[in-house]
Amino acid sequence: MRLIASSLCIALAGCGAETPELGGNAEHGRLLLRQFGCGACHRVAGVADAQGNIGPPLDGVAQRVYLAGMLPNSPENMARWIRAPKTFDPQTAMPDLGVGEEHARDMVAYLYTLR
Amino acid sequence: MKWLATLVALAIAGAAGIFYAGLYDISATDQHLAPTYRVLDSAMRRSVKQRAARIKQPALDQPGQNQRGLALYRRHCAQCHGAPGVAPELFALGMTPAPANLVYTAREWAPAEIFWVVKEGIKMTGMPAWKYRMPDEDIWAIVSFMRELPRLSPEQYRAMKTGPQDPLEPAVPSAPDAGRGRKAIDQYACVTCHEIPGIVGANAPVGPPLKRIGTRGFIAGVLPNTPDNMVRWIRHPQAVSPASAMPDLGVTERDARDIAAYLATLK
Repeated sequence: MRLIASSLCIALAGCGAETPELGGNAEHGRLLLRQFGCGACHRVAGVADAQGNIGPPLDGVAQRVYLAGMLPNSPENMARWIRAPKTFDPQTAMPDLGVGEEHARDMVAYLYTLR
Repeated sequence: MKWLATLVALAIAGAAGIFYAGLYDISATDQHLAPTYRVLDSAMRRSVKQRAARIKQPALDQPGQNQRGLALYRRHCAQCHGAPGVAPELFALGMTPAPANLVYTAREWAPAEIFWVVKEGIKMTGMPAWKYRMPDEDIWAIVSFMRELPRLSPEQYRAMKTGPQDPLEPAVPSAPDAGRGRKAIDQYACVTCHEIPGIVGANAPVGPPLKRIGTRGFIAGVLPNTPDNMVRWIRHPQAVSPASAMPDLGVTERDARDIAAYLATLK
């Protein structure tokens, strides 16, 4: 259901839905999530081969109140988490994947379509 | 027979309409219609009677038992139910149904029935289940004390001295029980933060969903997923991850093991 909703959302918005605060291209973000191997740990609706069960599923992450159980959910915090998880939780198993600022914005734009 | 079928269909459509239009008043400022109340009250009593019939009642009025029951009553029950000469707290006065006045409960209800209600609670009222927070011995102490309540004047109630209050630590049986864990999850309000397969409730998006948590690699992104680590996380989240928003709910060792056993079934 969410897959259909998020695909429709992107399709209808043209080449990408933008998050109001950050900008970013959701469709590009969807492809980046695959390229950075996020699916190896996380299930992400709409991202090919993203069936990992090492970390929590990212389905509905746009509505989640806390990111990583500790950060209030906002586009800025999500981008910060993606780019440098260990600055927030030194023990986290989530690696630093060297995600650049613009790529993080695009990923966040996509993840924010997952309601 | 066609008219009957039409009538039933209309009745169902009418009920559905009332439901969807939000017309039924669910506020706590008004009781149900009297017939509705009678039906619900009667159903509740019958349900309790049926379930309490299986309970074996131990000896009551044992030495010190009523004093212990009084201490527990004052700490856990009086806020909602009041006591001889003592009003319930403000929040309890705002409840519907109003918490029963317990001074005469022992006259109407068998001890095993009172025990059952305290232990299992009553859905959709304010009566909580004490099963996971109070050992059976303590609940029987309250039941025993309640048998004395009808005989106490307000002055006598005030003057009563309480006995020792430390609760017995519930024993931890050897084998974790996933079925019991599923019920324990309800008691610790886990669904107010997490979506959990097999549990009815809010399934709130505060923390991550627990779908496939049984086979997930890491707990809370930091602990390798093992039964011992799951218990550790559930019981003391801040000891594992100081910044975590997951609260310490005072989960007992036994409940944590049972909950971990249930979560392990979510593959």
